[in-house]
Amino acid sequence: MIRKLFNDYIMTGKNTKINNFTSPGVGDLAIYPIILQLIIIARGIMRQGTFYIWTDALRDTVLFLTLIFIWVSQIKHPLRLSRMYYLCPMSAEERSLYLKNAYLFRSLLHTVLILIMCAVLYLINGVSIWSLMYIMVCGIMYSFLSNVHDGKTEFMRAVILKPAMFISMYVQFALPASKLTKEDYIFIIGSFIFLLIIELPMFIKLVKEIDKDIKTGALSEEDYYRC
Amino acid sequence: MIEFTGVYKKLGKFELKDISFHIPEGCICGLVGRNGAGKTTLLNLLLGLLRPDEGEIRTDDMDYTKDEKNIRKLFGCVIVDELFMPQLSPEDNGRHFGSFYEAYENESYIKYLSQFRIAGRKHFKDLSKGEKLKCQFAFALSIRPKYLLLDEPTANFDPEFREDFWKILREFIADGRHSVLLATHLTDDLDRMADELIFLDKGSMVFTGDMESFRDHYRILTGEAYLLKNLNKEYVLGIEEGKYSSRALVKGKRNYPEELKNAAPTIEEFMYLYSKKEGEK
Repeated sequence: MIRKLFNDYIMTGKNTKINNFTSPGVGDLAIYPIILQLIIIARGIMRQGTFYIWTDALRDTVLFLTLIFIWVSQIKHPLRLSRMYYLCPMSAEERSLYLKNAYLFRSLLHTVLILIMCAVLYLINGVSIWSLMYIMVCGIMYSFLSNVHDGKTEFMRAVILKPAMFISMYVQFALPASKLTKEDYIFIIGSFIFLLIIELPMFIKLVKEIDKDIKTGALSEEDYYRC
Repeated sequence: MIEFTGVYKKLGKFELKDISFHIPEGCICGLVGRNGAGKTTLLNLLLGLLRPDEGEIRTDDMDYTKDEKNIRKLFGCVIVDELFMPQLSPEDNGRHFGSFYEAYENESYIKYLSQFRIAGRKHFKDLSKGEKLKCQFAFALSIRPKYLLLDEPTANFDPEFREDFWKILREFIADGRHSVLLATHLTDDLDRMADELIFLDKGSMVFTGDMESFRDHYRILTGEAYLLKNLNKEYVLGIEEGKYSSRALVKGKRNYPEELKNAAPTIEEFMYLYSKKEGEK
């Protein structure tokens, strides 16, 4: 089962081009936070000079590579079946299960990467434990993002939620790894409030839409595209 | 057996109206008609990609509402759309989609690819149109289906392969339990090979039955135009007037004037003269 899911993950990933934006008409604007992140890293190096030590570089690189891998993986694995899948011998329930398993498999794969990334950040003492907790919670949520069919939700995901998560994780690096001041704690509490009030409701809305898409994917192809 | 009973389907302005026919086991059934006649819609209905608005479609006494999975096991298809993943090779596509079929044999698929001279490791998107269809044909055969549904594949096949194609189809139905439904414009081959025929025109069924009935049911009369014009209009389906001789497509064997040459139509002649129906010139 796991092997088949992994094979399917590789096959569908190979099949989708990175420039083949899968979201309906919006595109995946997480590319802008990636560019922004590169600028922030470059500025960090320029400002801190020799103080920009190898742990900072490793910390930035680990976060950057993990998030970019997940971003690419989400683009390359749209929550949609091609026509051939509707011709294969599967009942509507099996098609739905296939989509659900594929979605869960890749999301869990992303989660594992986020956890590895957090372990590396912890080992190199790259961020404070509270910031690490924030990155882990936000990163796990980030792992479960997927493009959806509904235009408004898709717009929210691509333009607001994904960039917000991307940036809010990265700004944790602005805080010191130890000896946090009162202002630093206020900043971290503020981050969690932002996550709870802004990111979480959007995330829940998106997950509901993902669930709807998975159920719709079980229908005949005609009904699927009608939805 | 495949059975359509009173099937109606509306797609935009196009309507497929009151379609009823059956395809028995052990036959090659030709599906013919002009462009836009409804052949692809009919095949999509049979493949369950579209659902009928009215009527019933049954395959071996099963319908899609209850037995979707079991019906899909029975069909192998080649349709105009590119079904395989474009960035993968034919071999990878075969392995991936084959895993959904219990009866799929990868060795058989590879054998067919080699027989059809397809580069198994090239990207599917880089193959020619004919090669893509051959790939899908190889896959359709390798899943051991009961019915092969083929939508216009022959037009893109080279003449050399076309002979092999027909040979494979004859072998496929030889045990009397498998059938082929083939939509094509290459009617010469159908004249030689088909056992059954379905003719559609503007979404309506014009003829369905075996080829013998077709040849008995329709005749072509050739002779002087005035003789053809004097025929009872009720059974004249189309007339083509020529400078020296004229032709008419008529319904049924009757006592036609002896001066008129009377012959069974080929499918192509039938289609051509049917298009000359009054008001359609």
